[in-house]
Amino acid sequence: MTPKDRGRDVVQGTLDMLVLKALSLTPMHGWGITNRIDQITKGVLTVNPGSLYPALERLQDRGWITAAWETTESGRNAKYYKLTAAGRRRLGAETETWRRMAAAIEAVLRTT
Amino acid sequence: MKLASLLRRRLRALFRRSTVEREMNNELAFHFELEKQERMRAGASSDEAHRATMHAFGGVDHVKEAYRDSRGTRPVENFIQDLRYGVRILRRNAPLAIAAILCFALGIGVNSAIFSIVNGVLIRPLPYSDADRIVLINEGLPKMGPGMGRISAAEFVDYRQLDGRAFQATAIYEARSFIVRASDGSLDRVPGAVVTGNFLRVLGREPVLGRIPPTWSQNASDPTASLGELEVIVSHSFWRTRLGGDSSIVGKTMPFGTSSVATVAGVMPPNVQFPIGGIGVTPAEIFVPYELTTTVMNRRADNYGTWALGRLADGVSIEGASAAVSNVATNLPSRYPDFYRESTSRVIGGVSPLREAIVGPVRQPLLILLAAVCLVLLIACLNVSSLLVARSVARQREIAVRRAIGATRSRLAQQFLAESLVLVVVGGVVGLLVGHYGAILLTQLEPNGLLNGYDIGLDWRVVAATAAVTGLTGIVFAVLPGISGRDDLQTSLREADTRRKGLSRSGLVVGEIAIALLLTVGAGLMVRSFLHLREVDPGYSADRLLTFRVTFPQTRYPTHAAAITGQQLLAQRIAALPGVSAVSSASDFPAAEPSWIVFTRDPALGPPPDKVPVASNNLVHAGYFETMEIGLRSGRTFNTSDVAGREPVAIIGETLAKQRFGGVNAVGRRLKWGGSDSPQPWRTIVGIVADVKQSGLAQEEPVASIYMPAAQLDTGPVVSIVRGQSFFVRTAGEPRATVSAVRRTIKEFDGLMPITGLIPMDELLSSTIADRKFNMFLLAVFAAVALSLAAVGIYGLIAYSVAQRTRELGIRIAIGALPRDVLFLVLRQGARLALAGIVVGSLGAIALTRWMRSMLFQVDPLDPLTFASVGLALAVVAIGATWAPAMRAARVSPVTAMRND
Repeated sequence: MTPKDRGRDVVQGTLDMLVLKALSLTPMHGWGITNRIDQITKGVLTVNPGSLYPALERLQDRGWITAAWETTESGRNAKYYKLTAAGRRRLGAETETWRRMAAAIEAVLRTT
Repeated sequence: MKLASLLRRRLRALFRRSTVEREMNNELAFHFELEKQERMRAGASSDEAHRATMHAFGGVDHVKEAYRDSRGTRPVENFIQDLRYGVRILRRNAPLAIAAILCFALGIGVNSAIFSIVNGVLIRPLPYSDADRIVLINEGLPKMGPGMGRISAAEFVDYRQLDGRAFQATAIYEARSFIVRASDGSLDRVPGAVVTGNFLRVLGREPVLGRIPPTWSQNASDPTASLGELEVIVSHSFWRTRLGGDSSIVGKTMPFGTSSVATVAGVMPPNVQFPIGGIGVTPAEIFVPYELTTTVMNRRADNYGTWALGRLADGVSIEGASAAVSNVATNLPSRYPDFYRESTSRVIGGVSPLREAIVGPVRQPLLILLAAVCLVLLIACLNVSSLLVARSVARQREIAVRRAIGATRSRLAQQFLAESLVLVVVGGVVGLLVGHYGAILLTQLEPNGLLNGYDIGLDWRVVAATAAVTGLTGIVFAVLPGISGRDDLQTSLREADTRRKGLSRSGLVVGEIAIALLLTVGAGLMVRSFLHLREVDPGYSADRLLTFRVTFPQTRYPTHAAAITGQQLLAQRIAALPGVSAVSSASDFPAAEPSWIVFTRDPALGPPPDKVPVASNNLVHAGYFETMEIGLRSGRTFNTSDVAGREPVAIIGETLAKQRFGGVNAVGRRLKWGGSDSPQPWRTIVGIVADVKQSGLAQEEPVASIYMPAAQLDTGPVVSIVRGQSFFVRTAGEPRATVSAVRRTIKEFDGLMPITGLIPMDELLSSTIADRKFNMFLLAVFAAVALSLAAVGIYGLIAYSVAQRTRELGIRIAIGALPRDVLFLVLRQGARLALAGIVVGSLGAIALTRWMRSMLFQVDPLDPLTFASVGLALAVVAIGATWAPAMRAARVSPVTAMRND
């Protein structure tokens, strides 16, 4: 496995949801997504490029996000990823599922 | 929509690979840059930031690989890479690749070419609707046993009573030839048929142009009524070639007969033939309604030779129809007591499928050819697998290394699959080319031009099946070693497990040799049969003999005497030509099916035999035996004074004399055409002649034969038979040189007389054995292919094993073995294989050749000469194939052998 320098690897299966969530406000490029997840989780969760880009490809395959080359504020070319309507619906569904799961796990952990 | 965009992404990844790669590189570089800047903002130096980012990435190339994997095009890319690698490997090992491709080419190509020919000539589907519902109505006399088949035309009025009960419709068919005038005024004879009105209904086909005319329907409802106007239906090929393909032909007239015309009522669809054309069978071109005239009706129990066909009514089985037909047949004698007497007092009947009658005679040869196809295919497969197994043994080390550095079994299998696909595809394409041009070449090579006029196209189903079988073998045998390789790296690296694989490969080659032997024995037996056939003495001399057939029609030769005089005058004129030494003629033609008659023996010779005696009967003119050079055994031949009004005479063949008339004492005894109450006169036997192969060279048993002077057959229903005459012209030199003079003489004699088949007799005779020649030719080609494949197999195995043993051979030579010893060592290896193959193959041949009996002529299926010479030939081929690698082995230098690998 790839060595990490900070934080923990994202929980298996939640990466897609995190990426969708990160993109839900505005289209972003790859590094932007990592950075955003890093910021929101205050460095607890880290997405390394080796997982991020395959995930982005996968999400495109499923039609949840699209990609286009655009110019950044600093005038460089970057590939921006954007949530599609289907992606937004998917995010809603995944969030819902996650909450139920988390609540269930929480319940299990509370009961001793 | 979603799928379309997915597909677009995949295709882009595959075909715009460099763009996609560049974009990925840019994207990752950008990511890397931002990450590094972020770290520098946090206070790290440029170097530290770079290193830390590298660390975070876990290696840029690793990220790239993960990125590439996620594009979902990996398997395809791997496959393309494998294909490239496969091509490279095959090019490096060209001899093996060429051998394998050659096997495919021969296996797929030659096989499908030959099979296409068999298919085109023999297996075409019956072009009738619901052909399985069409049956033949057969009849027979119990005393004569089965095999008589057919019915007499007059009996049709009885059988058609079954229409609407056992049959939907019934019809009769008699082959005839008709005279038509070509546009240049010359007269030609074309094959045709007389059929009753429901004929096309029985076949279940409609004319493609025009329709079934009212006169035919009228004939269908009452076949004995006279029709007046002559309306005919012509075949598609006749319409195209003779009527200029005129699409408004229906209702027009065409010249028909020597002076009259016929109205064209319809044109048959292009694929509909009856009978189905084949070797020796010409399909009818003109169909004329069959009027059952009083003359025909009066020959009720006298003229069995008409095909009767019926289309089974719905729900009626073959057995049901047979019972109905049998019922009608058994009641015939009591219904018409005046006709069915003595020999015909009991009639039996039944039906049989039409398909049986058409396909039946060719089934045996066909099955044998099909078996040959399968065997050649099997050899090709064995060869391909043997070559591929050899290669995989050679690559065991490579496989072991690849597994050691992490290749999975499935990945290796994939790679071998790709490589074998290269072989299969290249081999398949070469095979198709060989097949296509092979079929064309074979039609041209075929000795008799028998295949001209057949639609010999590659049959794509056959090509596909052959290619699939061979290809699958190739793939299975290529992939198998990839997955079965052992995990034990050390042993694999140290020594390839050659012995076990070598053994199984030897088995494959032995199998090949055995099959090649089997096929060659089959071909050898056919060749021997054919040579026997060619040497058969037909009982007459076919050298320098010209033959043709003409008819003296009633319109211009009104009486029997006029026809006989006409024949004599024509014979005299031809005899006067320079280079002609003798001329005569006869009603029957040797080498065609003879006319069979029933005859009665002189009652003084004892009680009539149990079975009604049957003999072939030929009505001949004076000089016939001299012209044909048929040996006279006793008595005299016919002369010009054996005419009407003189003592009725006959000449019989040796066999009949022996069977019924006490041998040479037969001369002076009497016989009569027909039953004891027949109106024919008693004839005195005046001579005994040598037996003649009356029904062609392949006739094995001599038949009883009778000859009568045509001039004396001036009364009774048979009087018209003498009008058709086959002439025989003995020439002093090459008969071909006389053809045009003879033709001119006939034209001068009677400009309206059409001539059929003016050719030398020996050519005609060879056409009677053409079907055997054809089968022999095909089987010989199969055997040649099998032999070459087996030779390739042996060569491949020995060459490979010599390469494997180079080191061992080098050591042998180093410690004193002479090159000759090494040569023999290798040759012995080849000889052992050949011997095993020959033994196994001979056992197989002994078990199988008896199925060929019907295709053989005077050759035992276990003919020792054939077996011995084929075995020897195979041994020579095997040693020949071993020679080159053996020589190479003998020249191995110990030094290079040590350096080898």
